[in-house]
Amino acid sequence: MMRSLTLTLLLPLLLIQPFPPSPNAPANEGDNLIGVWEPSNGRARVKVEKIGAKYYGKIVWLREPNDPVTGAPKVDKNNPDEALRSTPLRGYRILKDFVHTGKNEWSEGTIYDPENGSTYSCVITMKDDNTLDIRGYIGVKALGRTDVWKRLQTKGQ
Amino acid sequence: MISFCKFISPLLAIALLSACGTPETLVFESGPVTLTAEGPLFEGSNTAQGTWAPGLDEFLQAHGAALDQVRAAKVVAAHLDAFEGGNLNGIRSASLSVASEAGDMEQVAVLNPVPPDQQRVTLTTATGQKALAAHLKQTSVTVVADLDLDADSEDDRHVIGTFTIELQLAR
Repeated sequence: MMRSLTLTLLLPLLLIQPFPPSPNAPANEGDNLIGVWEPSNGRARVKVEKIGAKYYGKIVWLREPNDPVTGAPKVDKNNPDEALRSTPLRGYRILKDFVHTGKNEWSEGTIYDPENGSTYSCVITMKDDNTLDIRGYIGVKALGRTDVWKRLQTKGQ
Repeated sequence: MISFCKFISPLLAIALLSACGTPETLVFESGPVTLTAEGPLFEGSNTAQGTWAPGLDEFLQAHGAALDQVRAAKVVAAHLDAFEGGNLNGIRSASLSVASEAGDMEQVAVLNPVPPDQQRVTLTTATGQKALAAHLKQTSVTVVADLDLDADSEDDRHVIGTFTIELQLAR
């Protein structure tokens, strides 16, 4: 009688996960990428959001928001498509179409460099909750360049 | 033999051109797509999005054509309308993009700045829209509007996007 009572009381506890996920952890591991990030040069901040099943990052802050020549807010003046050159740089989606492809990795996306209007293949690796390796490349991943981005509002603070 | 080749080559070229079919253009209207940016919203760029079922298959069937005959597609006119009789005040600029499972997100239009006190604006359309045809062949397309807002707001913001699309078909 005592044994069955003990089992009845303990069984629900045994079914509970020993280490429940942190309340800050997203349900989908890929969503760890969502947040505001700052590239190593500190000249911009990029907000990563999820649209459909993919991840995108847009510029939400610029250290120098205005064009030094015109004094007007910067636009995407180097866009290869002339018709789109009036697109504001603040709000421009420079990370596009990333898929969560593995533990701490997002790939199949592109990164756009507004300085020269070029788009590169890109892989994002999360080194820790607050650090990203952003590797842009053309063709061969090994021949690319990596930049380190920091999360603006760090987790765990 | 040489004269035979000279005779047959133009005929062969004509036959090949005939086999390719005559390109044909159809105009496809999207109808209104409601795009919502969920509050709270902040001064600066906010993302509004909506789901659109193009129904291109049915449209093409009504014109005696099929999806696999679509060679290219291009948004030739894009409009943004205010929601329920309001105006577009508070939106400094707007950019429209489309995305689907079929491929990469494609920016199709932009307007910067949005003039004040407008209920409807016409955006400048992109010249190259390579991925658009693949998106339109899907049953569901996500339409994204990047709205640069001039102030914070607790509420959602709705706008309506409409597109006129030229389809290039090879019959």
